[in-house]
Amino acid sequence: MRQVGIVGIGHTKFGRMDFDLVDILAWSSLEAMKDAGISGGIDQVFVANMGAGAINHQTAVASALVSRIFLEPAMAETVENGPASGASAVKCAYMAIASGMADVVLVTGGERMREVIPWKATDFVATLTHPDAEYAYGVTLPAFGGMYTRAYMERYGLEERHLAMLAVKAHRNAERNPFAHIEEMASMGGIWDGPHRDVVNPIMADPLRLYDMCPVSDGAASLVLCAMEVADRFKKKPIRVAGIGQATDTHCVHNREDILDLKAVRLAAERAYTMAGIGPKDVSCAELHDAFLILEVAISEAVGFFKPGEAKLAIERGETEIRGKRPINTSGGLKAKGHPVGATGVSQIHELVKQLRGEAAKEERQVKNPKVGLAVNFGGFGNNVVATILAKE
Amino acid sequence: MVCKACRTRRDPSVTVFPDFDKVPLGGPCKLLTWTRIFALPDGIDRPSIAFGIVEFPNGLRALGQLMVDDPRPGAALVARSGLVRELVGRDFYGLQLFSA
Repeated sequence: MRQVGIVGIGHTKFGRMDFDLVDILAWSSLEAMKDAGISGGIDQVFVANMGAGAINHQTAVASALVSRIFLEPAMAETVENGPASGASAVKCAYMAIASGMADVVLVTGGERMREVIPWKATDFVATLTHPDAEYAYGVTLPAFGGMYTRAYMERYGLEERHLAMLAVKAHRNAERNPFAHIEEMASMGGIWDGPHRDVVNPIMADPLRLYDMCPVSDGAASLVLCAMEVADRFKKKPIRVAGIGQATDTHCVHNREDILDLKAVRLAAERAYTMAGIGPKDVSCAELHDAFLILEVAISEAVGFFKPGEAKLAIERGETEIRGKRPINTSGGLKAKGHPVGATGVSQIHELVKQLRGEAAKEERQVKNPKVGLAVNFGGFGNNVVATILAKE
Repeated sequence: MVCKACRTRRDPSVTVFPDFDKVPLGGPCKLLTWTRIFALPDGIDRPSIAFGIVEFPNGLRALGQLMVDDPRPGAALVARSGLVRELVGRDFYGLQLFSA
């Protein structure tokens, strides 16, 4: 197989965007091509998107994007894998290049979820659950986040304050990220132990509070990937895709042997580590899918950063801060940067490339001398997970 | 549904895998975890709704709507079938979980 690298990155601001979905995709695509120093020459386009058909009444968005930015006759496909669509599209790009079918691939993930009212956006995401055994009950992804959080707290003694500490970290990182949806800092006094906690930070999916959850966002992120053997055609040095792992688990959460075991995360990470020839201790920084803050905690344990139940100690010691021993979600994460579902997996890789290039320094959120980055994109409620490892050459 | 050969648990798939035993769910069960949500989907005509995952004495588990005011993990419950959601032109019936 050929080696694959990333030579261009692009990103729109996340938040509310009152523009056509394909325009949103086009802006980040053109940014990535500009970053790579090209205006064409793309062999294949993959667009990661979950909701265009359901909420924007538009299908075949990859074909639309190619035409919007004059990339015909490039090959084009839309990739839909729930909230893991972004990393799946990166995996497809990797396979296309590694196989020799393409030399240069554009991956763009994007979503326009705020075109509909919030409950419709929540409902559309909930359609990924089992139609009879879960969705029919009115269950939502935040409900699964709440149930998971309670079970985790019961077993491992995690407290609500630990989640509040993560929220403060996420907002602090996002405040320095020009693409983030949430631009405001949060404080423990405001969201946790202040007199107006239940007004500022109300319970949404008990025990999860408002600040424990990601916002509903619009936005897009893009990457230009190429075969390492042609990387000298581009303006920026390549960041190598060192490993990709993917795994699935039961559709219904209640059918898992242990409802707290994120088996698909664990296996996806193990496969990615094996492919890259590294282990968790070698990871300099990570972007983990914290749609609910409990997932930053649980995923960080499932990928081997901490023993089960011990992530809370790392939170207390500040180890997951940008200047800590194990920086996690330096972008602000889904929690504060935002979560346009199709864009998220691509945006995580965008952040890792930025860190590995040293380009986060100008935003004052640079990890010190990073060599390896790990992204975990979590589909469903953990039933389809993609882990990606990037390495600085 | 439980596989006759390996006892794997799955949810409704009769048309695909006839070799599964249908195991009726209902009656006494134990609450494993729960939540209450306040941002509700269409078809729920209440100010909030609670969900729980329960385990039955035969080891099977299920999601259900929790009809208990003060739930606690480990609590003994009883599962009964009831109307769980009303969408336009379609009613959904499923498990509702009550105090034992």
